[in-house]
Parts: sequence; C-alpha cells; structure tokens
Amino acid sequence: MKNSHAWLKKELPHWIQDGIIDSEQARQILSQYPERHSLGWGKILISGFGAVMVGLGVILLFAYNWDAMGRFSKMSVILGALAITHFFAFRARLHNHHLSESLFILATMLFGAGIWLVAQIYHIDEHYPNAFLLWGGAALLLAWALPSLPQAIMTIGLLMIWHFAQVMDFELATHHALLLILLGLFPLIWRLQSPVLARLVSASFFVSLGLTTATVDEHLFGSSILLVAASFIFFSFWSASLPSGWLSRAGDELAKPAWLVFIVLLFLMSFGDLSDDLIRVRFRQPVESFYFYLPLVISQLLFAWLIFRRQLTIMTFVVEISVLLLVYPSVVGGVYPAQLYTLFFNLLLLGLSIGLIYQGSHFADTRKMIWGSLIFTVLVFARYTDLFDSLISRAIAFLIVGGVLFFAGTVLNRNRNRSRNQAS
Amino acid sequence: MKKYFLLFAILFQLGALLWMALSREYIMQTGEPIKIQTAPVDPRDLFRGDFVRLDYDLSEVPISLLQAHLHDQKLKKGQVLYVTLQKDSRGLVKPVSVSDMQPSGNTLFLRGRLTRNWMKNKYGSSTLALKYGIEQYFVEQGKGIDIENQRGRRNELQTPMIMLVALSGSGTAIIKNYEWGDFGVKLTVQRQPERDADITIASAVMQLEIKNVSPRNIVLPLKPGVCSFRIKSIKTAPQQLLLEGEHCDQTKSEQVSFNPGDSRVFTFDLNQAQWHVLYKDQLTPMGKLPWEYRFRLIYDEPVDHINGEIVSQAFHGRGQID
Repeated sequence: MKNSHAWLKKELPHWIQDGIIDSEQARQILSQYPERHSLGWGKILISGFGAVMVGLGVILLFAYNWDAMGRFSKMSVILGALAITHFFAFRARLHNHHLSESLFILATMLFGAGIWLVAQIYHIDEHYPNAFLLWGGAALLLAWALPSLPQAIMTIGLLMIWHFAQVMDFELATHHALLLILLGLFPLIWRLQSPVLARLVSASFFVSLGLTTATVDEHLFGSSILLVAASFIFFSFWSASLPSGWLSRAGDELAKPAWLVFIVLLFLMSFGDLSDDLIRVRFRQPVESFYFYLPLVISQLLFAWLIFRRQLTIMTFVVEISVLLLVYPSVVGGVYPAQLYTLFFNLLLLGLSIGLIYQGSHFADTRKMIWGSLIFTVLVFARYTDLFDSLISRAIAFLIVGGVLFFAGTVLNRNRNRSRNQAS
Repeated sequence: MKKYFLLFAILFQLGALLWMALSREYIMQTGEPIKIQTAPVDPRDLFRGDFVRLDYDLSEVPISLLQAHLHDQKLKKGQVLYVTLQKDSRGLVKPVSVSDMQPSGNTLFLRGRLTRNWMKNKYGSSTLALKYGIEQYFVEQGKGIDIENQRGRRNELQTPMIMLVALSGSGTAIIKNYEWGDFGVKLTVQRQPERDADITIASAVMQLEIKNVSPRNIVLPLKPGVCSFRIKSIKTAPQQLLLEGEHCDQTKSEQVSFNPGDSRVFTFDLNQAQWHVLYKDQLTPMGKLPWEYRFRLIYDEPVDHINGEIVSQAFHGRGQID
C-alpha cells in the first residue's frame, strides 16, 4: 500500500503534464488514498528482538547471584540500569523515534527482570502471577504514555501469561482481567489506530473470556464466547457504514478473531456429543447470568440496530440464527431437539462455507474463497465417519468436495482475469 | 501533559522496584525475628540461578487448627489464610490457629496462600497446604549443591536448616539467613513386613540415628528405650489417629552427653502395641493403614538449649521412607 501511494505520487505530475487531469483533480485523487504511516516493522522487530536479548542477558547475568555483591549493590545496579535506559530513551524520543522505541522496550524488559531479581535478593516466593500483572501494567502505562504499539503488544502478552497462570495454576477466574482489557487496551486501539492491535486485543479478549468463563463453569464457555463474537460481528457490520474510515476499519479488524471464534464454535456444535455441553448454561451463580445475558442483550441491540438501518446480509442472518438456536435451551429451558440442533449447525456451517466460496469466486476475493474452501473441506472430513459408511458414499463425498472446489477455483480464476482485463 | 504522563510511566517502573525492595528491607530491619525449621529439596532453577526449595512443617497445617466457621466452607487454592504462631524460647514457631481474617493486636502470625483446594471429608482434608512466600532460598550459582550436600539425601544423615525469618505486622515473612540444626537424623528400615503379613507383624521395624553435627558438646535428656520419642501424623494422615501414649509416663530420663560427631541409634518396632493407632474406631498397626498416611518420629523432651528439633523423615508404617 505504501509503495502504491509512492507510485501514485510519482505518476500524478506526469498525468497533469500530459493533460489527463488537472492539479485539483490530482489533489482529489491523492486525498482518496491517504498515506498510511508504516510502522517500520523490520526495524521494530530487529531492535525489539535485540532489546529482549539484552534484557535476558541482564537477567541471566544477575541470576548468577554473586555472594560478593551485597543486596544494596545489586539493587543499585538494577535500578541504575533501568534509570539510564529510560533516560536515553526519553532523550532520544524527539530526534530518533526507532532508537527511543527500542530503548523503551529494553527498559520494560529490564523492569520485568528487576521484579524477579528483587525477588531473588529478598528470597521472595509469592503468588507469581502478580509479577506478570505488575510487569504488564508497567508496559500498558508506557504504551499509553508514548504511545507505542510494541509496548501494547508486550502488555497483551504479559496479561495473557498472568491470566493463564491465574486460571491454570490457581483456578482463579480473574474477572478483572477482562476489565483490564476493556478499559486499558480497547481504548488504546483508538489512540494508536493500529489494525494489528485491534486484531490482537480482540483475540486476547476472547482468550481471557474463554479462560474466565471456563473457570466459572465449563457450560458457560461456549454460549458466552459465541454471544460476544456475535456482538463484535454485528458491530463490524454497523461500523462498515460509518463515515469515519478508521472506526469502520477497527470494526472490521475486531471482527476477524470474532469470525474465527464463531466458526470454530459452530464447528464444535456440529458434533452432537459436544453441543449439549456448549449449549445448556446452568445459571447456578449470578456471575453466570452476567456473562450470558450481558452479551446477549448487546448482540440483540446491535442486531436490532442493523434491522433499523437496513444493513442486513445473509451473514448477519447466519450469525443471528446461530445465536437464537444457542440461547433457546438456556433461556427457555426444558428439552430441546438435540439431533435437530446438530443438523441445523451442520447446515449453517455448510451454508456459510458455500456462501464464502460463492462470494470469493464471484467477486474474485481469494481470502473468502480460501476460508470457504477450508470450512467446507473440514466439515466434510468431520462428517466422513459419521455419515458415510460405505466406500461408495465416501468416494462420492470426496468427488463432490473436489468438484465444488475445482469449479469454484475455475470461476475465481475467470473472474480475476476478467477484472484484470477490465482494469487494463 | 504528554511529557508528564511519560515521566509518570517511567517513575512507576522505578518506584515499583524501589517499593518492592524497600518494603522488604523495612521488614528485615524491624520485623519480629522468628525461626522456622525446614528440610530443603531439589536445588536449581535455570532462569534464576541456584536456589534451595524449602519445605516447612508449617506448609501442612492440621485442620484441627482451622477456625470452626471455616470447616463447612470450600477453601480454594490461592485463598489467603492467616496462621497464628507461638514462639518458644529458642525462637522456633509452631502454628496455633488458622483464620481467614487478619489477627489483631500483638499476635504473631504468618500470611499464607492455600496451594490446594480444601473441602471437608475430601481426600487430603486432614491438613491445609499453605505457602508463605519463603519457600525458596537463593544462593550463588553452584552453592546450592553445597547446601544440598550438608542437608543430606534420602537414606543418608539429614541435617535440618533453621531459617531465620523477619515477620512484619501484616504477616509477611522475609528470610534473613539460615543456620544448621544441632542434630542430624537418619531413618532406615531394619525389617520390612512381608506382603499380606499377619496383623502382628504387619508393620516395619525402623531405626533412627541421631548425630550431633554441631561443633559443641550437647547434653540431651533421654528416657529408656524410645520413650523420649513420639509419632506425629503429617499431610494426609488424620491427626486423630494417634493415641496419647501412657506406656512411658512413669519413666525418668537420664542426661546423655553428645560430643561433636557422637551419634546414637534407636529402634522402633512399629508392631508393638504402643505404636498402634486408632483407625476406624479400632487399634490398628501402622502397617495396615492406607498407603497415603505418613508419619514422623519426633524427639519430645522439653529442651531449649539445642538449635532445631530432632525430627525424622516422613514414613509409612510398612517402612516406605519419603
């Protein structure tokens, strides 16, 4: 994209010179394609990796734990190294952004190392996830203060380790992890306007939600995650129509992990044995109602808004039908037709995959085509042993899958060639 | 504004480390000095250099010490509990009670976290597994092995470590240093029972060697036979299993001198009626108890001039030594 913008900028004077367009038109064309500032990922990765390596080196150096060095000397060196790194990072921030960014990454690494080294000096063996929370909190503050994408990514990683440790090692649901992501990281997406961050924050929110709800009650896990995923997806449909380009982009990026979660859950619910565990919430504690009804209300309000704005598509209906099917047994209670449910979820997944394949091939969208083909293939393989007993029916199933994918691929190629010809 | 926010974020990092260190330093300087006896196990942590993992008697607190209102509750792993302590004349502490509320006044207590769930009448419900944040002692790389060697290994003479700890008013403990106990102990099996042995020979015959590993002469009061010792149930073994022995009550102790390096061996025939325990309302030989029930032998004379207690490794009545 950055190269295309540079190319356009280079070509426009020639077009004006050749009389194809005037300078006002050139300005308008250029304004249609605003320049996106590259983050310089190569530089960030290399310098970030270097900073992490230096940080690890410092940890190991101090981990030797020289007897000859008193605890005050050790503390002075740790604090001194951190202060000096921050000093140079602070000074470099105005004239050398990349150097400053790298030094701040190093400082956050040194801070994390410092936590463990202080623990070593004073023989502290406390509740260890707290160290990751403190480390992540410090990275989050810097991510806001700078503002900095690498610090935000470090925050996500550290908070995920913290939450994972809380759940796996101590069986603590840690509800405030979700609050921290909602209040600390979601607004940061807006501040940094980073699609990568939007995707990562969304993914981390689903991971945290999964960890928390599975700890509260494994029966809550599926419903809660699907309802939140539906809310994100409906939000992306709504935001697509907004005049603010960035909000629309953010909605789209937030919805990507939501779609993945949604498809995986649909797939899990296409298995009869699994679907009952995922569908029926038991509501034994108020917290279960909270994690079920809050996303249900939000998703339905967003869906109602989409109806009001007449922004409904086949995809929104697929998501809404899945939501309604999922919540019915928990809300209404009683017996539900389990086999019919399994059939429904299989058909929904099949419809979704065919829809994606159709859209992908028809509009020459390779990404949709790949996703549709993938879902379609996985679904057929999953049902391979359930539905097809004889070799003949299995052979037919493979022939149909192959045929559909071959046909879709041909259509995709044809439409891509047609688009290219029209463009030239 | 942005500049000040950045400065705040930087100062937060420096301040957090400084606070961690200073708060511990304050406890080290002003905290109540106590001693906790331990036996270390398994050194080495690749990331943090060598350390000695410490396991205390206090790490498994009998459920009988838990406050009554908590007996019907499910206590979750990670939950904070407060263990009230009693300090003897040597500075060694013993647990007195366990509560979920921080004790008030001048009470000596440790703040700990449960390391496994607890629920009444569930497996392992006779003790609370607690961690106090003092379960690791860091040393210079390579020095952990030296400590391990002095501590001894399984089937060897083991010398207990006495951790010198500073305790804050809020129950936070900081290790200041350590000492070695005056007596090393070695527990061995002299005779193990046959599988499906008759109830009269279902338990093992154990031997306990105690050795003065200190550089000074120590005089210990000892009753005839093994009357100076008692058995203590640990971890999963219910505390109410053990009967109060009456067989040695009338015996008088004599003063026995231990020069540095002197040792003495005591034989415990666990088949004898004096070691039987009350299990399911019946007197039962220790060898017939469930496999997870573990015990220790403890020297039980009132002495305040030796550093540390004389306590054996954990064992099962059939002779399995941990």
